[in-house]
Amino acid sequence: MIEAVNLTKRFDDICAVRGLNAQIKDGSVFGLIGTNGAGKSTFLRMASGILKPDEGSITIDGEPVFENEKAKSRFFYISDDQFFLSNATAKDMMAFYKKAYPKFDEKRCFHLLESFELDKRRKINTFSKGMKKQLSVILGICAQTDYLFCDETFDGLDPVMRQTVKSLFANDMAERGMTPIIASHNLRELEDICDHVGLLHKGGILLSKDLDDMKMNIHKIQCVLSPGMEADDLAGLDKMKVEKRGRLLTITVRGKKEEIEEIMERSQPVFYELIPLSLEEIFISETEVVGYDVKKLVF
Amino acid sequence: MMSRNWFFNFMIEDWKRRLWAIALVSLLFFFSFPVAVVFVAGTRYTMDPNWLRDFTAFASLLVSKSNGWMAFITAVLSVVCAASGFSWLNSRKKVDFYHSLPIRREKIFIVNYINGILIMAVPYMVFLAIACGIAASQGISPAIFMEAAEGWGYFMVYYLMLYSTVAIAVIMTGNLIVGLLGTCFFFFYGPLVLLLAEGYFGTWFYTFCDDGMFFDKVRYVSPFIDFCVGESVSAGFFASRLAVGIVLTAIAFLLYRKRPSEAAGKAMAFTLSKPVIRILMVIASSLSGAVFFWNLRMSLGWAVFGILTAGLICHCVIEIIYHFDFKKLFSHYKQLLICFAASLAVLFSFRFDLFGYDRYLPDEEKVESAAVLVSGLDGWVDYGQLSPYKGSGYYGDVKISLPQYEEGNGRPYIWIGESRDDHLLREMKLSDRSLVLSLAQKGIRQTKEIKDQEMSAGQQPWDILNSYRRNEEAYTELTLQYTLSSGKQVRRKYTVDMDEAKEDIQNIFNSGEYKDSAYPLLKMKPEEARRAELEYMGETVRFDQAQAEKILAAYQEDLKALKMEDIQGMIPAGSIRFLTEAGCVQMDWEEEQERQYKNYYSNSYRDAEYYPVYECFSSTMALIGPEHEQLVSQWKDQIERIQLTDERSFYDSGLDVYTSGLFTLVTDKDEVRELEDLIMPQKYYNFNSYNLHGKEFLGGEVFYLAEDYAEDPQNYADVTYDTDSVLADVTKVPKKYLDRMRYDEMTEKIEAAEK
Repeated sequence: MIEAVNLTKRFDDICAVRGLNAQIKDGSVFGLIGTNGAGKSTFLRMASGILKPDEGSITIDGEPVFENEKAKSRFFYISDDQFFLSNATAKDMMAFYKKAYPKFDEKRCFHLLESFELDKRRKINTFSKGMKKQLSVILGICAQTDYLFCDETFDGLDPVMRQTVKSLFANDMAERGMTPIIASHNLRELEDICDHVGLLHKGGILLSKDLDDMKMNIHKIQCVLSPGMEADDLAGLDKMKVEKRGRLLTITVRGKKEEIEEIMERSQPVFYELIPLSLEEIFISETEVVGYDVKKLVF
Repeated sequence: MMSRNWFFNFMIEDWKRRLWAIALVSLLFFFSFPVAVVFVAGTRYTMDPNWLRDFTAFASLLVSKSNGWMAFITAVLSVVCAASGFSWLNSRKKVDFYHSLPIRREKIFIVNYINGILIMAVPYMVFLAIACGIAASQGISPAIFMEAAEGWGYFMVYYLMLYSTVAIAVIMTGNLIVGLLGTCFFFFYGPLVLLLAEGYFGTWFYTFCDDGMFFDKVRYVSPFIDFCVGESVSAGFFASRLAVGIVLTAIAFLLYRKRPSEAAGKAMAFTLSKPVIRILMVIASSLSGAVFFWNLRMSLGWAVFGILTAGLICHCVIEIIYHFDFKKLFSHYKQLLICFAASLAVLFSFRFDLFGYDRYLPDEEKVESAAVLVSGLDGWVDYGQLSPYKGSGYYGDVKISLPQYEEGNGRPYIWIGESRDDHLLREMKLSDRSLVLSLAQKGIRQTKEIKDQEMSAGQQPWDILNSYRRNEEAYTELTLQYTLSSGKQVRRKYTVDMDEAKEDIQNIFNSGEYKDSAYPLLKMKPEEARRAELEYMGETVRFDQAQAEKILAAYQEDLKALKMEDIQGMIPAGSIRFLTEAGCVQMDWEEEQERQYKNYYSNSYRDAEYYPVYECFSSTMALIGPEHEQLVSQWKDQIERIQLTDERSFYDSGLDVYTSGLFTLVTDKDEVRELEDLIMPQKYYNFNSYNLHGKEFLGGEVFYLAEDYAEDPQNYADVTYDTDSVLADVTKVPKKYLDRMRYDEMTEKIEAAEK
C-alpha cells in the first residue's frame, strides 16, 4: 500500500500539495484526477522519490520512498514527457532498464513491441508522441514492478490503444498484483480503467472513493409521473438533483438500486427508467454536494 | 534494487551517453601528441647534426608541464566535461528520469564525476605514452617517460581542481548559461576582489606599499588563476593541489545531495545562494564603479555616483538572470540598499582613512626590527647569485633535464638576479627603532600635509603626490618595513623632505646593519676571492688571488668605515669586483665565447657585482693606486676632443617652445688637457646618485679615435670617433667655457621663465 500522510510540497511561494492524505491499496487501478496545477504530477513525483516532501511522508508498505533504493525498486515511473537516452532505440532502453530493474522481462518486451508494431531498432527520437507513450507503457509493464505510476500517459492515446493498454494492465493486475496509479485531467479517459478515483484540487484531495461504490449509490432516474404528480411527491428518495423538461423528469438520487425501484413502482409513474451515470456525472453530483462546481475543477 | 555490478553498468551507460566527449578528447590528444611527435621526427632526414638535441627539446616540452597547448586544453576540457557531465540536472525530464530510478543519487554523482575525470585522464595517458614510445624509438632517452608522467600528473591535479569547481557551479545552478556564469564567478571573483582591494589601497592610502602582496595571494582565491600562475613540481605541490581537489569534490558531492530536483531549469538551485551571490556581486560592482569614476574625476561625488550606478546595473542584471523576468528588477530592493550602504561605508573609510592606515605608527617596544629602503640610494648594487646552468632548449629557455641534452652546451653558470627591494626587505634588520620611527613620523607628517592640501585646495591628490615625488631635488621616497614582535610585517611608503630626513638617512646609511644587508660583498670571506678586477671606462686590470684577498679585505674595511657625509657630491673614481671560483669560470667562458664565436648571452655575468671605488677609500687605493692611475691616464691619453653641454631647458610660454641649453666643443689640445682633470665618467654617477642631488653638472662627451679608424685611417673619408658620456661640476669649470655656452644667459632665462 502507498500511503501519504500530511504530504506537503512547496515551490517558492506556491503550495503545490498541501496536507494531502491518501491511501492507495494494492490490486486496484487508482485514478488521480485534477485540473492543471492541481498537484497530480507533484504527488506522483514525490511518490517516485524525485521530489522530497517539505512536510509529511509518503511510504510504500511503511518504507519512505525518498532515496530508498529498495522502495524505489517497487515502482516504475512514466512521466508526462518521458525522457529516453539520446539516440537510443527501444532495444537500448530495454538494455538500460534491465540493469536498473533486475526482474525486467526482456522476452515479453520484445513480444509487446512486435504486437504494438514498434521497431525495436528504430531511434526513439523518430517516434511520434503516441508511439513514445506506447513504448513507455511497454517498458513500464515489462519492468515487472509492483506499482506503475503514469502521469497523463493515456492523454493522447487513441481509444483502441487505450483499450489495449487497459487489458494489459488487467492482465498484470490479475497475474502478479500490479497496481497502476494513473494521473489525468480527463475523467472520460479514465472511466474504463480506474477502480478508485481521487480528485485533487489546489494541492489537496477533495474526494477519494471506489468507483463501484459511487456507482452503486448514485442513480439517475428518467421518468414521466402520473398527471398531477411532481418530483417532490416521490417520498423516500434522496434526491441530489432534479431536471425537468416538460413532463420528463431526470432525477439524480442517492441510494441502492432496489430501494429506488421499489419506490418508483409504488408511485406508479407513466414511465421510468434507471440510466447509468458516467464518471463525470457522478463527480459533478458528489462535488456539488460539498459546494464545488466540479465543471470548473475538472473539465 | 539494481544488480550488484551497478557501478560498472551505469558507468558504461554514462560512457555511451558521452561518446561524443570521448571522441572529441581522443581526437584532441591524438593530434596533440603522437601525430605531433611523428611530424617533427620526420625532420631527422634533414641531416642537421643537432637534430637529436632539438628533437629532444621539442619532445620534452611537448610532454612536460610547460606545454602551453596542454594547459589550454586542460582548462577548456575541465569546463566541457563538467558542464556536459552534470548538465542533465538542468532538464526536468532528465532529472525525473534519473531520480525515479532505484539508484541512490550519490551513486549517480559518483559515476558522472568519475567518468568526467576518466574521459580526460585515460586518452591523455594513452596518447602521451604512445608519443613517448615514438620519441624513444627515435633515440630519445627513456627518461622522457618520467617527464611525461610528471607532466600528466601536473595537468591532472589542476584538471581535478578546475573540473570540481565547474561541477560545483553547474550543481548550484539550473541552467547551462547561468552555470557558465557561475564558473566565471568562482574563477574570477576572488582575484577581482583582490585587485579591487589593491586598487582601493593604492588609490586612497598614500602610504600603501605596492609590493605585490595582493598578487602573492591571488593564486589562493581562484583555482583557475593558480593554474595560470603554475608552480614547480614537488611532492608538496601534488599534495596541496590534490587536497584542494578533494575538498572541492567533497563540496560538489554535498551540494549535489542537497540539490532539490525541482531546481532543474531555474537560474539558481539553492535559494540561500541567491542573496549571497547577489550581495557579493553588487558590492564588488559598486566598489569598482566608485574607483572607476574616482580615477576619472578625482571627486567623491563621482565616486558615489559610481557606486550607485554600477551597483544598480549589477543588481538588475542579476535579478534578470535569476528570474528571467524583466519586471522583477527591484524585487529585492532592500538588499540593494544594504549593498549601497556597505559600499559607501567602504568608500568613506578609505577616502577619509577612518582606520588610520596612513597614520600607522607602531609602538616602539612592539617593533623587533625594521628595514628602510631609500629611493635612489644604492640602487646600483647587484643582488643574486651564480647558479649552475642546466642547458637551454630549442624553444626558448625550457629546462631540459635529459642527460644527452646537457652535453655540448658548455655554459657553466647563469647569473640569477634578485630585486633590490626583495633582498633588502628580507635581509635588513635595523635595531635602532627610534631612528626608524623618527623617519616614519616625518613621513606621516608629510602625508598629512599632502592630504590637507588636497582637501582644502580641492587639488587632485595624485597630482599633489606625484609633484612631490617628481621633485627629486627636494623629496625622496622611503619604504619602511616593521617586523613586529608577533612576527607580523607591516610596510609603508612615505615621501619625505630630503633636508628634513637627511640626518636620519645618514645615520641609517652609516650603520653596520644597513651595510651588512645592502652590500653582499661585506659577507664575502677574503679567502673566497680568486681574482679582483679593477675597471675604468671599459678597461680592466686583473689582480691574482693573493692580491685579491688583500684588496678585498681593504675594500671591506673602507666600505664599513664609509660615512655618507664623506661622499657627498662625489663621483667614484672607478669600479671593482671580486670573483669567486665560480665567477672566474663563468667570466673565462663568456670571454671565450665572445672572442671566438662573438656569442653574447642573456643573464650574463660580465657587468655584475661591481662596486664603486672612491678616492677616499684610502686602504683600497693604497693597494690599487698605481693600476688605477695607469687606467685613468690611458683613458685620458685617448681623448681627442671634449664636448660640454648645458643640459637644462625651459618652456618659453611666449613662443610656446622648449628652449635647451647650448654646448661647446673643445678641440684645442691644451684646453682638452685642462678639461680632462675636471670631467668625470657619467657611468659612475649612478653609484652615488643619491648624494649627487642638488649638485649642478654639465653633461658632455669625450671623443676618441674609433678603433677601426685608428688601425687603418686610409679606409675612411673622415675621422671617425667613438664617444663616452661625461659630467663636469659647473662650479669647477672655467668661466671661458661657460661663456661659450652662454651658461649665465640661460640661467637668467630660466629664472625669468619660472617667474
